[in-house]
Amino acid sequence: MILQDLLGIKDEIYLVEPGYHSQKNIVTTISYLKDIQKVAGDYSFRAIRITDGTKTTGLAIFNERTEEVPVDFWSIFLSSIASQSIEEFESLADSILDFNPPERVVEVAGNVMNDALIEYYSILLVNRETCNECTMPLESYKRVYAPDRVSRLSELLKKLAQNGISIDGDVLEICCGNGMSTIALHELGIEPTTIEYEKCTVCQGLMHGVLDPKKTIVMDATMLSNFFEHGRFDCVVGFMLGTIYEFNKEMWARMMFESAKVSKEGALMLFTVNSKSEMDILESALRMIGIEGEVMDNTDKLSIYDQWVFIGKRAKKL
Amino acid sequence: MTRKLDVKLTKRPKLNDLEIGDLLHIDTDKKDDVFLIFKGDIDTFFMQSGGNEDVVQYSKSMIEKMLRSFEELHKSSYRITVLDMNEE
Repeated sequence: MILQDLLGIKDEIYLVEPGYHSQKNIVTTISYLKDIQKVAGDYSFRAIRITDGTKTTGLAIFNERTEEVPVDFWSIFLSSIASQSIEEFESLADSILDFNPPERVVEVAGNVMNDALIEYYSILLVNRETCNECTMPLESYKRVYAPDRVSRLSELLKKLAQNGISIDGDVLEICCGNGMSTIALHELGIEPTTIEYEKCTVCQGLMHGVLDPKKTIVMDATMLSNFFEHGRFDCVVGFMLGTIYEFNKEMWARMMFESAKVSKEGALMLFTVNSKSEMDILESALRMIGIEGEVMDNTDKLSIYDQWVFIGKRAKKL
Repeated sequence: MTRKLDVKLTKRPKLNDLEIGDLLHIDTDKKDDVFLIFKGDIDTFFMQSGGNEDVVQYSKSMIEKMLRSFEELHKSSYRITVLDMNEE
């Protein structure tokens, strides 16, 4: 695991925040640190200070095995990707380390820690440690992934590339589901960051090795700008988005706006849907936020997936 | 949870509680089968909307989000039937 390697820890590690998303507000982390600070002078424990080169961004505390927890492990507290309570975290962590000087200081850049956290929570998900009573058995690869659907999308992407519309650079795939479409991207050598709200489908994609644990996040696509820096991606794609109707078009408009916010000026925006009526709504939402592009008719008699394609570019100003 | 077949329900059943082969009908006062959702496998769902012949696979979260938005605007009721795979 990347996080263990970065921290040079061979024992088990445990992050107190339950998910990647909660590493943004670190409410549980702060609560734990306040409790530890109260008793920091009364006990001595092994600790590691984590820094980004300037300030304390993390703290690892060793927990010796007990009868209840029969394994040695390190509790990890981080503010590396937090968007709030950063100063409070630093103050609490430094105060704890004043009483228990760290046995080591480990320097980890914020972006490196970000990747490590994504992988940590992917592994946690696959090990079913984020779900109390998971009853979802793994469906077989053959039942889940349809080769025809993947190959049709591959053909579409190849055709677009031949016409100078290439998906490359830092790519974000929204609503990736179990990674059905991600397979087509991988076949073209594209390694996207993939996001999906439904953790069971993500779990399935991770378990089948279709989704990359280092690049897959369980996340709501209407919240993209809370997690990714503005103007980061060279390309945002989404395949078989839907279902899109008049009554839920605001949600899709929000997703498109958020996609635009996290993409660079001039970034390629590529989305596919099933029906023309869905594309009409999506296109309208994209044009409203200044995404210029064209709609491609990709219909055929045999297939129902990726029938309509929007190919556009993010304007200079949103 | 034991599901009740072909009974009008005012509360939407959880998609996870459907059994493989079940068909969830979403009705309103004005129209039956506005949406039909078929559970094809443990975590595989297909949807058909009224007037559209395509039966399309979407992720559970997408279907649930869509239904939530629909329910905000329309009083909906639900029925579960079992799809007869041998039916012509």
